Amino acid sequence: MNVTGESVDAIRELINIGVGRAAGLLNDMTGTHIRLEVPEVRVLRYTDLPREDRLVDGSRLSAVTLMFRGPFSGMSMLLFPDKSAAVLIAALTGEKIEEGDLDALRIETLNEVGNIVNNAVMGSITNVLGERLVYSMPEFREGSITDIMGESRSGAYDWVILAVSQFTIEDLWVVGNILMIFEIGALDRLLEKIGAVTGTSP
Amino acid sequence: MNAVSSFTQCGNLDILPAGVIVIRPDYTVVCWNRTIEEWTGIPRVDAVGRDLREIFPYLEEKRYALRIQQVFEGGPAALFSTQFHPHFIPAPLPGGGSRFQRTTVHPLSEGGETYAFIFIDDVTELVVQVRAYREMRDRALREIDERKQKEAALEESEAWFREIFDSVNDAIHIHELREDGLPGRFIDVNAVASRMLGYGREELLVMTPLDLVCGEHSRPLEQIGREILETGQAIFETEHRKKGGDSVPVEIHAHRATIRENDVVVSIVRDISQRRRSEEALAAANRKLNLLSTITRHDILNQVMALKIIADLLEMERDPAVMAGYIEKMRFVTDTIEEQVNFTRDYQEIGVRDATWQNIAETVRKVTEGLSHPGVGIVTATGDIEVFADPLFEKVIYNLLDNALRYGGPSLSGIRVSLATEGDRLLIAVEDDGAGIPAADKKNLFQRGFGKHSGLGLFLSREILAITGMAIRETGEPGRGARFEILVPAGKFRGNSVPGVTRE
Repeated sequence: MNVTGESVDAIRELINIGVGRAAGLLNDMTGTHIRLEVPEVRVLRYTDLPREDRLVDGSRLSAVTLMFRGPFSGMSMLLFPDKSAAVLIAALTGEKIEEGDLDALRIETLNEVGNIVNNAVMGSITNVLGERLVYSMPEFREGSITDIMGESRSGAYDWVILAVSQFTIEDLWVVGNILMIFEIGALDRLLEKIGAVTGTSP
Repeated sequence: MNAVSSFTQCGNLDILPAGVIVIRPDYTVVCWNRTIEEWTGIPRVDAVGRDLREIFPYLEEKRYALRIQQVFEGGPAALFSTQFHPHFIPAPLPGGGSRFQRTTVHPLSEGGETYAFIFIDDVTELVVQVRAYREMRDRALREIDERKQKEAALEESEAWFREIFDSVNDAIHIHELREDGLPGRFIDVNAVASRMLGYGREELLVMTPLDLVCGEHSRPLEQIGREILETGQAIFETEHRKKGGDSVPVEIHAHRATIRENDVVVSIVRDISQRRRSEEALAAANRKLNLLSTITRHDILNQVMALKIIADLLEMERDPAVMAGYIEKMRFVTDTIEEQVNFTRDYQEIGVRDATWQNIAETVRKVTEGLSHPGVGIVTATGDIEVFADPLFEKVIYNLLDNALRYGGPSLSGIRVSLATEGDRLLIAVEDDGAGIPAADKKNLFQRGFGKHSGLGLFLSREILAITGMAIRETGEPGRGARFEILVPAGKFRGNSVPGVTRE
């Protein structure tokens, strides 16, 4: 598969539209000034994920996942190192939270943040492309990247869009990652559709 | 019956233990289940068909409207967490307060229409439990933190006291106190105690102070025990045996104390070797001063008086033979004065310089080289033994050998210096086969002024030996030879060839 610079730019723009919307919602919900940016977008092989430096830095990760099926199938995921997840929740709720101290209510809160970001990004893509997808219920997962990905469907995945997302909450700076993991052939179909809409070819 | 009519009548949704509201894209309520009726107090008939935003106007806010809109547009389900949306709809609790809710909004397409399925969970119990857990955990963390701070303060305090404990100049013994006032097992000792005695701390902790005592106490032990029980303290002196065998004189300040609810004695144990030496040196100096004073003032004046009398007699005498006798006497008196003056010089030297380890055989060899002893063999059988003695020890050996040569008489053919032991003491024997010492002279042999020559040599020898605790006696048989025995206390001799003794 050949992913051109234009394609990556188009993906970055779609994701940026989504996260911009998500940041607006989070601002509105929490009354806190939140900026959400995606400074870096890369496309990599699913099999290379466990070796990706950004994802193995923190051995324990927290993820909010969203499976989707349709013209292109896969999984969207907002992923944080454990410490960053706690910092983000603390910043959004004003609570004092120790690293690794995510109880049921805090996990639910993180789940909502992930849901807002995932929904906004997926909404941005599907709106622009005029596609409809079927989604599963959002799910919270914890562990290493391998634990989070699970074994059962790993053979079905092919390419991954890794978008580094940077939350700036007042003077606090939290980095997470948006992963869009595509089943075999799904990224090609997405890029074709982006090409068709933007008048570029993948 | 299609899904929509099911919604309208809410059908089976009434049996769900959660609140369910179904709305159309224009927010018209299609379903309002029984749980929602109960929570809100709004009957289904009053809600169905109305715009949900009329019932709950805040749902027009962007934070709700945008996300619900996304659902209608075919987006994923929207989650509204308890943290950010604790009360998605007003649902008062019977006892006051409001139900905490977790809400999800799902899209549902049926019969060509899209609905939003609002599913509201009552998580009040979960919130109460989590809050209770957080409170309990925060309290536990605070307690742990406080305990850690206390432990750190205690550790710091203990380290501080241990540093003081180990850095004082004196040994500190902490030991149990028995009911009879006598000491029990050691509980703790400082680093100085280990250094002073040569035992490791762990070795001392299985001992009692009495295991260390090797000398007399300055007062009976039972009396000291009574003092500690009755007055809480006692000051006394004794001697402690070091691991290597040497002893050390100590002064002990014992104080009764309660440490961690145990009745104990804290003793400051001071090594008083230096003080003992100073006291002994002071006593010796006093003795010497008295003696020197006596000699200069009394003995020499006696001799001067004798000189004056002889001079007077000489002046009146005209017989040359008698005059020659007076002159001879004057010479004798002058010699005596000279010897007394020499004695004061030698005596002054005793104890001035520090005692040193001296090899006996080497000392005898040096002395023998300076003596004329034709026809008299001098045998030394002292191996490599060394004694700790005043530097004038050589003068003692000289005096003993010189006496043997001077007064041994014609039968003298040999002198032998040998070793033996007596208890834990070393015995150095200097014996000859000469005339020996008459029994009548033995009693006063070491008194000042007794003897054939100046009468100072053996007295001086005894004084020199006494500096390091050595004694001297004569045990020879009159007519068969003299035998002088020097007794050296344990700890003041060393070497591997002592008969019957393997002490270093």
